[in-house]
Amino acid sequence: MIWTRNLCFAYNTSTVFRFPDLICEKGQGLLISGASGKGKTTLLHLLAGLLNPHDGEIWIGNENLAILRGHKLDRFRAQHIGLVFQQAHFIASLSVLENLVAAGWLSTGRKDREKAQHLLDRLGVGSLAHYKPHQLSAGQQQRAAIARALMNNPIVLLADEPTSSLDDENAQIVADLLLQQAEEIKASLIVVTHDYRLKKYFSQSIHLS
Amino acid sequence: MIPYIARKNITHRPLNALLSLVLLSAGVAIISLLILLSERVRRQFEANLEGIDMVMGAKGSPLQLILSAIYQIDAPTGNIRLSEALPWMQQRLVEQAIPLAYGDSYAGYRIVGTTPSYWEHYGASISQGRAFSEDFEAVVGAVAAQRLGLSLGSTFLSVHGISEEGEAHEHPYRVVGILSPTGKVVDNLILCSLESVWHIHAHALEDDTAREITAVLFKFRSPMPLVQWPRQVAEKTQMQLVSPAVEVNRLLSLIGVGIEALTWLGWAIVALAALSVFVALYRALEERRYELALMRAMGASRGQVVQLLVCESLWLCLAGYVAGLLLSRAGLWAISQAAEREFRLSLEQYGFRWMQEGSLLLAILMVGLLAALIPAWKAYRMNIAQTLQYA
Repeated sequence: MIWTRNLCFAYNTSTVFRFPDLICEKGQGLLISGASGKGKTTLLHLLAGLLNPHDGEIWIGNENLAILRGHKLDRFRAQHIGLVFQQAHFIASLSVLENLVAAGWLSTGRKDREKAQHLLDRLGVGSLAHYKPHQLSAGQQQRAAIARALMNNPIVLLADEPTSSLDDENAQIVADLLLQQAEEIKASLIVVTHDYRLKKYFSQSIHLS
Repeated sequence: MIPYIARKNITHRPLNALLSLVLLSAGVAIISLLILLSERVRRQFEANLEGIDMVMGAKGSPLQLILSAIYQIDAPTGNIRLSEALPWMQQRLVEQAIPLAYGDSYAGYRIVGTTPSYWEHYGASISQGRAFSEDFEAVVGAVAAQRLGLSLGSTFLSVHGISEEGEAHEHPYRVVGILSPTGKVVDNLILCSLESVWHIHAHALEDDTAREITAVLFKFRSPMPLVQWPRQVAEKTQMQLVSPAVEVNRLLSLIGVGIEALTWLGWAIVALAALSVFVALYRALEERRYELALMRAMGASRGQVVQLLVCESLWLCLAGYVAGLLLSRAGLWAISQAAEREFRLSLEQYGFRWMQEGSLLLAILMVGLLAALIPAWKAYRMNIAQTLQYA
């Protein structure tokens, strides 16, 4: 489970974001919506430990992310957080499967090809494992990216605009898969998006304004 | 895993790496070829020089005399009268004096009239047959015998001069002995008695004063003649006495200047290659910013991202180095073929030169590190959140 308190981040003195407290139980999904410029991505980066908050707490399990720095933060993120971005970026020179293996290796130090293949199968792109990422369609890439985010059995699964570049059909599939996988591995799923199509899939949501 | 990804990144866009690879392998090939050649040339020159203190021959260019009398490369400076040389050869301070008489050749291989002490001097022995004892009996060097297909009992007609299409003499030579291989100049010669050479040129053998030879190789018992004789010979006779060591050193230092200039050229190309590796990495970094940020987001440490870029650079450099070494061997083979044909000088030497080529490898890897320095630093300092947000 993940929860925050009094989270605050400032790019400079005029751009200060104060975020409402949020909580997301394991196996649950939380939707964070809001217009552009309201700090959605900033919030997600804070939750992922890619940025350090200026004030407040971020609790994941028994660890306060807000006070972790440098290498410790990198390790924590690698081991416990799964990330999915709007554009599914991959290491272009590696096959889809190798991308998953590399991601797993970066977080655990083990090269687990079987797990990678299993996850790709679970997300319905198992037959594309040996293609290069750019040979996949946008929807297939996003599925592979979700599979990659699951390689380290994350406690928290964070998704930044995962459906914005997808058509309705693929957006629905991706949303379903995210919720379904989060439930399966008992991870807290937080999705930030301005994509209102997603609203109907999530029981809990927060609107940044 | 990191080296694997690095290699994949290079092969994924082979064109980006091509220029770097071509430059690197060209630079390495030039430097390594020069290492091989200069060492081999020096060794060839010095090995044949051993045990010869001075060379006596007709007046002319001292270097030409040395090249013709010791290395059998250049044309001789002319002939000298045996009667004029003999008093010097018989001096007490002379340990050994080997006369050489040129004039003829067979299929481009020189026929040298001399005494058995000539091949003994180079450490060759008769491996088949016996030494010559009669006129027109020949002892053939190991390489010459093999290339010309001569065996015991073979006969051949010599031609006048050292070109392959000279005027043929009528009297055939008969092979009576084959020499063991030595790796020195004697391997490429056909040897016979002095009398054979005189005979074939129809010099009156009855008249001692008309007998001519081309050069005499001297070995002295003391260093005294080295200092005093050259002047005496120059003053009293129509001959010259030359120290091969001095001449060869002069020649090698001349070659050395050329080799040094070419080596600099090689390093200049390597420097260009370094620049090209740097540009390739830098551009790849711009292109792959998001990819690297992603790797960081997935748990790669700063060190691992730096490692990836350094690895890519080192892979490129290593590939260029290996390609360069292969290229240098191919070049050496080509040059060696030409040298064998033109000078009967074997330059083949394909083994790895641990000292010099080992340090070349280290230098190239340093170049790789240097080229990766700035891109790696940029990757190290990368702001992951910003890169991900504005991709």
